[in-house]
Amino acid sequence: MARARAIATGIAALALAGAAAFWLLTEPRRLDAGAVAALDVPGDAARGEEVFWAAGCAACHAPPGATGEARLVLSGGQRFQTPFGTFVAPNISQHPAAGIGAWSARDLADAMMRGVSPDGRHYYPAFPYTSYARMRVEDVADLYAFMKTLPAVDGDAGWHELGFPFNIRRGLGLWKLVYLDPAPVVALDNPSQQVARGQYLVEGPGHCGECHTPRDMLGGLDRSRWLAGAVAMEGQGTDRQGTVANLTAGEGGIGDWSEGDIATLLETGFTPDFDSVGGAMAAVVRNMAELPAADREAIAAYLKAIPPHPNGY
Amino acid sequence: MKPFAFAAAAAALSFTVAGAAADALDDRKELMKERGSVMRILGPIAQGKAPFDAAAVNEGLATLDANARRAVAEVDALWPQGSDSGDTKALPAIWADFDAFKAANGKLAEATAAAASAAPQDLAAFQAAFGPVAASCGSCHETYRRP
Repeated sequence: MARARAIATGIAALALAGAAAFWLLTEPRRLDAGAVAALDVPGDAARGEEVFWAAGCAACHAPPGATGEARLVLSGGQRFQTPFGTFVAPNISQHPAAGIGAWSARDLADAMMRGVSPDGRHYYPAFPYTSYARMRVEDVADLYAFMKTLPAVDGDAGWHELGFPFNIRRGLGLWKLVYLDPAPVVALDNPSQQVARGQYLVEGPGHCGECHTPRDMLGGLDRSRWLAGAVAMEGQGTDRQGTVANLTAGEGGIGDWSEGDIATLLETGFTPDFDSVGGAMAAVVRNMAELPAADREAIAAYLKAIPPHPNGY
Repeated sequence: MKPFAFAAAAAALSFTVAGAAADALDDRKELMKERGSVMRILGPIAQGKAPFDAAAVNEGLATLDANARRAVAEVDALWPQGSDSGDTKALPAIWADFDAFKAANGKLAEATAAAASAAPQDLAAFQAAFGPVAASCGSCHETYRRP
């Protein structure tokens, strides 16, 4: 009897220790104070507009199908059907209640670079903070200044529709321990200034890897096949399933494209063969077309410098 | 005998439907490939990568216009209901709102008609006429073609 009680106590203690460990490990972690000091200086809204296009905010947060000026209305509402459930892009307009109008620059940086909300909860990685984590804090400050100039729109976009266990946000803390890493993905040997700029744009704000890199069972990016192409996460397992291109020089990739070909695609949407890209990439092209030509050329130079992989799908 | 005849008729009918869908896939691929072959002539000229050639440009625009008109006239036969499976990149979104698809399809024809009738004789005029044509490629692919 005593022995049974001892075992029961032991199990309870283990469970408690497990719960405590889970709680500690899954704690949402914000940027540290040193990192966010730059956010106390007001950003430059004009520079922030470039960051806005580079980061592709409108591609998900503008209303479905928005083009031109309508892309500055960030009322959310686009739905993304994935194997984990359906994610709904939230309202990130300047509305103080429905959007993020009441946020500080630090709130924006914690959200984008650590996936933590102002009230201290984890965001789902459909919001590509695993890439934005590589951004410069100064760029987030500039982006914040630009977003302050955008309209406030009322209206809740609705909430994600996720099943167990993905509906338990706290669990994302464990996921982040494995997959949230602000270090550069590709180790480049003495890159030129242009290639380094391209690396920053692709691996950071541009978040290209989020679609162009295959994911593992837990939805984390397989960095050993960086930009090797993937089955599109959006629509996977439905009648809309498609694939995302291999951006490396490996088999099935774009090794025979010139840097000029890549830059032209990013500006016009046309491949060297004059096919026109579609799906989510069409919105990406509309964003990339807003950047200075030097940035599209930098992206092209970086894509030519990364290791080749065969198709990741 | 009667059930058999019915089954045979049903089988023949479904075969015909499947056959029509397969034909539709071939026909619209051919249609898209023709657009591609013209774009490979017009695209580099518009981008300044190939010299301007008024005859080639106007012939290309006329071919695109005939192609786009055919897509409008034969839209029901080229994109019949249910032809979103098999070796095709067509998305179900086409049939979810077929009127919207028809409108997008019609926009290309409007753009090609305007460009062909503008009969551009220099690069600047060609680029101006060609812009809306090129833009309509991506806007349709965004919604209606599998990535």
